Amino acid sequence: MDVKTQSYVTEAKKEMASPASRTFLDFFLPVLSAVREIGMTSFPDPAAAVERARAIRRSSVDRLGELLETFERNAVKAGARVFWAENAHEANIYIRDLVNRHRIPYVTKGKSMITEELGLNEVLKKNQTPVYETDLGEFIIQLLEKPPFHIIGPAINIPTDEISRVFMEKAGMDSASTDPVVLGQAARNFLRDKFRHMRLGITGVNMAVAETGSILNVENEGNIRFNKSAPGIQVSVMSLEKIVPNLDDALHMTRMLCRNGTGQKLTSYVTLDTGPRKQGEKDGPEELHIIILDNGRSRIYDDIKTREVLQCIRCGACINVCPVFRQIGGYPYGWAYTGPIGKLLNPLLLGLDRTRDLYGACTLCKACKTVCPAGIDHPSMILYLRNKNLAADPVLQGEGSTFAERLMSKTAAFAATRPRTWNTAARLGSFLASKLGPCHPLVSAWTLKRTFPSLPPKTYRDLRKHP
Amino acid sequence: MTVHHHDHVEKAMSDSRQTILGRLKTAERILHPDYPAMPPSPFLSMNHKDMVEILVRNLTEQGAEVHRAEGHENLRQTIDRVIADQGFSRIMVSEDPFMENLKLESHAENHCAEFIKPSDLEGNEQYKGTVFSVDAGLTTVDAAVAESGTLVIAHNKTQSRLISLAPLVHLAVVRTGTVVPVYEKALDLVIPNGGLPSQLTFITGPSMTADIMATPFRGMHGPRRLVVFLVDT
Ligand code: SF4
Repeated sequence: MDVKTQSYVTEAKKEMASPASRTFLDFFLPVLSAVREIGMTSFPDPAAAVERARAIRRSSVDRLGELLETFERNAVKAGARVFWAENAHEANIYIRDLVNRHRIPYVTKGKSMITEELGLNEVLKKNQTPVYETDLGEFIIQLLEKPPFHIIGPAINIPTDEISRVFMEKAGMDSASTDPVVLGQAARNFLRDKFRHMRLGITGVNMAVAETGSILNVENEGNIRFNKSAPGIQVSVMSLEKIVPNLDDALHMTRMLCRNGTGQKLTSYVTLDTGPRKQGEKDGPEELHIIILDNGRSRIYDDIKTREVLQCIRCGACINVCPVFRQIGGYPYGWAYTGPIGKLLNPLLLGLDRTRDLYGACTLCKACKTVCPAGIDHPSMILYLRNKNLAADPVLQGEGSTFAERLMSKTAAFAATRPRTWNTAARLGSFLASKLGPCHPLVSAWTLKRTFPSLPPKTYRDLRKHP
Repeated sequence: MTVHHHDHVEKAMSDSRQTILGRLKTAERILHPDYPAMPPSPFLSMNHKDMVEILVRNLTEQGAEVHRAEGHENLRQTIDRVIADQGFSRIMVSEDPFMENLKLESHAENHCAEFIKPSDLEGNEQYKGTVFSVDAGLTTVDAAVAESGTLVIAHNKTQSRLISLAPLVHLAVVRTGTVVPVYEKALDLVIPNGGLPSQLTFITGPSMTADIMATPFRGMHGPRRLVVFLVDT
């Protein structure tokens, strides 16, 4: 998928003025957060459950290398084929070659952010292999050629008349309708035929269990189940941090993921696959391919501060509570991940230089950190990224500071080490601030984004001298 | 050419594997303290009758229909009645020992529904063609979990995956003896020796979506209706 992180500001302005996005953002996001909170109360002891989940994710990331090896060993023992891809290209080529080797006429996909990250659809399209997204939301945005708006509801903001139009044009719907149920039914009918004849299905992975070599998916629609039951070949792509040590941990994290994502105790379907179909079984894939994708994550792992981001289970809770997301929605984030987790993952995976506005636009309110069931401290990592950017960090592709920033900090350092200069400047500053106002071009780069504090007419030193 | 190309992929892959694992394993190691203790789930100390009630409540809240039956004969009658009421004419059934034992087809004189087993069908095409076109799928459930009203099916030769997925209606038989408080206990019951089936499915309510304007819609890809027969055996 194209990287559009650099048009953050323009996109954000557009979204803030868009009535369709506003309805969703102003109304549904608070509802989603409330639904999550109610969902969490169904834990006998919600606080203890969260602490446990955070500990599981920390420990999984601590032991990442060794757990992946164990996972691989057990998955292979169960009959799966495991492929390690260092980057998106390797993963895409592996899938493309598989498609060509088996002369697959079309592929279907279950919802997965990871294949958005890969840009797999573009690669298969170039290979002239049709790809059908099968999650309703993904299906809609694929037809409309739009990016996902939200990780749980990728098309939740799209008005029904727009969906109706594109369904009539591209999904065989006969007559227009703005009834969500009729639209859902049309998508069901269209995709059912694809499931019936599919030969290769692609899914993401919500959890990979080291102890058993199993992969686990959660969903409500049943499309992932089809992708894992109907075809001869199943390809499941996991980013390498999806690992958990054992089944008990997987079950606890699944409880946590569902409650945080949609407020459900459990989504309609949870499937745990261990190897391909066994002899004599009527359905399920004959070949199960599991792709373990790095794509920059082992580099993130190298720094113990950024490593923490790998604890994320993609529940979406942080997104719904974020005051910035609630204003601008998902499009401005410009890549696979949105909201607070997108502010961390997109910059870490794409480089700090082209994602500056993502970690820049944060109020550090800590709402994300408070809800996160995986124990990620987003605000502190955002500050860390800002620092790394100013320091022109070579690994994370920091830009370094601008001339104006350097001049400012040099001047401040000069004044702060010379009492007289400092006092004169302080008096001058408070005088100027009262005269110029916050919109003066000289200071607007700063004051347009922050409220300028009102300065008292007298400095502390003056007050001490003449109380 | 293909072979050569394949070699190439394999080589790239073992390089990538080493590179990735190398980076992960040489990175600075931190080990966080062990997991904090969790208070034991109150479900674990519940008596069986209450557990079954909670199961039924959760199932109903999620939109499943629950019919209760007592013993094999009564179960057969209850299933027959629902099938007749709905006018289902073709039903695919699982072939697990409990279902085989129930011998629904031998009582078929009571109604006009046809019960089809996957093993009656030759080859993949016929199986798929049938499972995508029957009116309902009828399966036994290996465990039912009270904590969330979840039905667990271990798929194998006698429990094909698509029966509970492709038809518009899923008829599920739950034996009260297999009702457990939490998922962990379901695993103990379903896989006593830890040998996992190729697929283990947890079903909680009918298929649904809220992807268009957050409006809930049942039967997105899987069954629109989940009908549970809870039988005391
Ligand atoms: S960062 Fe935390 S809250 Fe946000 S999606 Fe990941 S796990 Fe959920």
